Amino acid sequence: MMRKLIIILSSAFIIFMTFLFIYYLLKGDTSRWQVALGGVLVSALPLVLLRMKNNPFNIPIIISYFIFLFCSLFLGSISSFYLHYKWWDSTLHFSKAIFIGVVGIALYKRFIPENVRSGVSAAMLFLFVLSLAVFSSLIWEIYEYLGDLTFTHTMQRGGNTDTMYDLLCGCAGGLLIAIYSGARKQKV
Amino acid sequence: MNRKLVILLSGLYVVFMAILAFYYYKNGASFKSTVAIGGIVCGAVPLLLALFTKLQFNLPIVISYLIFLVGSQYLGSIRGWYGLGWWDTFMHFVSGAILAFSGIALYERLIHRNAGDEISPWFVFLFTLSFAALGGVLWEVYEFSSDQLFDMTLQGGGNKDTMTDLIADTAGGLAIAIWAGIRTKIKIKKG
Repeated sequence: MMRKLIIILSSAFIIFMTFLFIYYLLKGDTSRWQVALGGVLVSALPLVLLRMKNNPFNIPIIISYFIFLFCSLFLGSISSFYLHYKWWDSTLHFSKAIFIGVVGIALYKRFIPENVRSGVSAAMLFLFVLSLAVFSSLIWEIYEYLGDLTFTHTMQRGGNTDTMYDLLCGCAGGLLIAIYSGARKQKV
Repeated sequence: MNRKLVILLSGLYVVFMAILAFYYYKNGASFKSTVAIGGIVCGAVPLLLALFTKLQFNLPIVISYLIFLVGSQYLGSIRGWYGLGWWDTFMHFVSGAILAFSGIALYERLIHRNAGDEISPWFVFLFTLSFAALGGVLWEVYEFSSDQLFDMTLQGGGNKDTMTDLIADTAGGLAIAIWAGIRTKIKIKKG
């Protein structure tokens, strides 16, 4: 089930992004074909999971990942939602932090065997989920910054205020999911 | 023993800063005397904790905290080393490392001893690294909100400055996180 889902979703996205890449390359739209090319790579990323012995993620996480790719790459960058709707960027940063928090819970379960989980404090889970979500926001900003230094020059054009609002949205989303996971530690 | 050392070192720092504050105040260098007063407050935190609470101290953290205070407040602000350009980045690197050490200390406190042997080194690595990054981001959030609310210019260097700081924080955290992960792996193999 899981393998089939990953194969179907990944290949559908790869085909879709390749199509967009060729279309915008022929049109000479540099910023859009770059996004589509990156899209091909990140769509292929879940295929790596197929080679792992036991994949720590569950189906909702895989599906959310592709929803996020669609919202960010296609709606956000290619259809210019990032430019037309001010709330689009911050909403995505907020929900992405929640998503990474859920991934953090999955990793926590993977790295800490069930028989010793009772010896791990809820505060630990809270801190781990929060830090991981914020760390992911930061990695994203570093990626944008390095991208601007080398190729694109547009991702952080909002300047410092924009970067800080993105990080704050990441912190808010991370905090929300961290409180949830800390409070429901026995059940997550 | 630890407690006495903490009292001695932070006491020395507080006295040193008090002398500087008084000296610069008399000479009319109001910025430097304000920094020195901030130094008294920061140095007083471990001092008061050691005097009035029964907290168990983690010596490496307290010492690196004081070294960081000397580097940032005395050398950086009062002696003007922040003007050198690379000093700010270097201090962020150091603070990333200190935060990572604090993350390890927290991890050891929040996890039961018996559980420690079965937890994957990857968890230690990821937690230490992201904890340092969280600290770095919270610091920039603090600077940003001071700028917005009180019209200060802590982030005057703009986006490039903010990003360089954050990358330095992450690099410091990464160095310690790799060390912590390897250390855990060796421990598990032995035990």
